[in-house]
Amino acid sequence: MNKKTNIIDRLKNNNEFQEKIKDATLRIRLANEVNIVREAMGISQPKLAQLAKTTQAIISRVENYEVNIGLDLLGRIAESLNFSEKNWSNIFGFQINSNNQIPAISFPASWLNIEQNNHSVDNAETYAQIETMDEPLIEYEILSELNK
Amino acid sequence: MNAVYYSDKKTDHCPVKEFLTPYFEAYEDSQEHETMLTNLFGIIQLICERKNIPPLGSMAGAIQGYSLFKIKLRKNKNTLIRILYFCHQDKLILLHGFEKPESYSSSRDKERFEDKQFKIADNNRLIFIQNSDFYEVF
Repeated sequence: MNKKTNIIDRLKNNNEFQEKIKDATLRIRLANEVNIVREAMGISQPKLAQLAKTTQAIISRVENYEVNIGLDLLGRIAESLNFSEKNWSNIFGFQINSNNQIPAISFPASWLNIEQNNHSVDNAETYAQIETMDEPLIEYEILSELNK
Repeated sequence: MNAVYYSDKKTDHCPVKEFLTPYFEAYEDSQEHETMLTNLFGIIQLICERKNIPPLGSMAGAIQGYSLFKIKLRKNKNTLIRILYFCHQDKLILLHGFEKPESYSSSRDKERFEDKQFKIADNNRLIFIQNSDFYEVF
């Protein structure tokens, strides 16, 4: 049993393996959400394929977490299934608050070069310029800003 | 909720770990083993996060007639994998694993084969309930 345990432990501590699990988990979360919402809406796989302008085989592979789909198809599937913030939070694992909104997060103001008074986003390039977090943090509601 | 292997301390028998060991051993050489293992870890993570509350899509489900659940995976075109588990006191206990063919010669064969596997898992479940330290970290 010791030799077997060593093989399993070695792989579990392998960074590449952990990264692959993360990728698989994302595909599984998407598969789960598409399958549950589709069935709740009473839509067949061929019908969803038609709505999302793809094939039934692709929908089947999505629901069986066998395929890593592109953003375009993801958008069409989400639109066909009327995905809400809750569905996205189930897929990407972030929390939403009781008002069905993604809560504000805190990070250095200079990350987005935000002017404290008007919360405008002036220069996204500053993302790359910040190497330290030794500065005051501000709360920033990403979605409300992006939806302006 | 945390996932653990059922492990019989008296016989040093850890069925799911033993079942998965060949997959771990061949991980680097086999794409299908890699896919199966990463999918298994991902599904278990999702079940634990959601505390085994259905619906869990097509990847896991309850087994009729037993206090058991199954994780459904595909090894390759012709072979499916089933990992049987149950939940007890905030633990997801992996009880038994087996490969099953995609198709059987008759539905009677299928029923007989699967029921035998379910009975093995159920027996492990009953032993675990009597011996709550019979587990290993997943």
